[in-house]
Amino acid sequence: MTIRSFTGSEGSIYSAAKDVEHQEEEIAVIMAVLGMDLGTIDTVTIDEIITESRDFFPYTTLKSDVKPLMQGNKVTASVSAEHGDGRNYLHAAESWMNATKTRLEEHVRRAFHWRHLAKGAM
Amino acid sequence: MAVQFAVTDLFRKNVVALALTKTSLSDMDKLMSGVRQDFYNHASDYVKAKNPDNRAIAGGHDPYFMMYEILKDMHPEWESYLWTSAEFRHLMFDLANPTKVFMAVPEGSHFTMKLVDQANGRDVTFLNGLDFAVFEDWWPTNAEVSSYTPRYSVMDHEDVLSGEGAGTYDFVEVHMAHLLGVDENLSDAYINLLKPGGRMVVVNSGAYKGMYLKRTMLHHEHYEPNMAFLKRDDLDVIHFPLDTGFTVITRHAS
Repeated sequence: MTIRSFTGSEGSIYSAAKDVEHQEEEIAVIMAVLGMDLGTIDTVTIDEIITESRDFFPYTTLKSDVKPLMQGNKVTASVSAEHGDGRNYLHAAESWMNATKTRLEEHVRRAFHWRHLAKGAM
Repeated sequence: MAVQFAVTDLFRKNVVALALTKTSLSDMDKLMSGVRQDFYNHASDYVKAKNPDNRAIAGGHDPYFMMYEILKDMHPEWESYLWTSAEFRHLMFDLANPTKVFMAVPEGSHFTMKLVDQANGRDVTFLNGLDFAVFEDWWPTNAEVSSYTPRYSVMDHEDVLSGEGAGTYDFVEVHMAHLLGVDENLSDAYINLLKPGGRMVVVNSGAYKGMYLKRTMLHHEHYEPNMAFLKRDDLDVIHFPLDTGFTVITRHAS
């Protein structure tokens, strides 16, 4: 049983070490996904992880060959360029990959932040 | 020329909700009440003392990084904005009247202190994280909550993942941030804490309303984690597009 209880006299039952352990696992998984060296987890910076992520998901160039058909503010279909609204867009698959990138970056940034605060409490 | 302020429809809606709602905690536990304000001040000082890296590349403009700063010196729109969700959550809690509770974020409030008060006889477990560290650091310092006799437990993330306490909780409350990861393991692990018939509340499941504002919802990063709830055949899931997003999950009774 690893649940710790406070019944009035135990003092602090928060474990900074356990918190760090979990956040490091989350950071490590994302570093592994990005192909980074896990041996550097103690020294790697958030900037390096984000740069690696941006290299891994390089879908930032809007394409002129796909333009969604707009009705009001809703996308109703993907059509060829001449029927679009005059702007360029990402391909749907690239938009999906970018959403995945955003989710991973959101997660690793929080894990990095929470690890920093937990280390400060050790 | 006088400065003109824009007021959003959401602000108007929440101001009306704030004015027309009343629960047992309305008068004593508003976000700007003395107890909460003291907690937010304490939390802000706690986080600042750890010298966090708040640059844009480190934070990605994530409100969670500045949450206690925002709450400490809150714009009135934020109070009505967050308070509506908080009251709705209290109402959900009262309806469920659970005896065994798991909460990821113990905010410093009368609600939380009543929850863990020994007199209520509830079995309350918190998640071993930043918010619990702040809560535990704060409550012994606040004279106004000294009348409570808190009893609570704490569980580590890794134990949640390994199935500790699975199938035993009546009520689980987490933020969407706790469920996100490279896969659905965290999401499944928190849902698995529920016993059959138990209820789970996921706060901020609409990504601070971002998922509703995105022109195509399926391109939002929180779309797939929300859809993951629907993949499981042992759950009823209701997503309320209420402000920051609010999802209620019930695990089937058997």
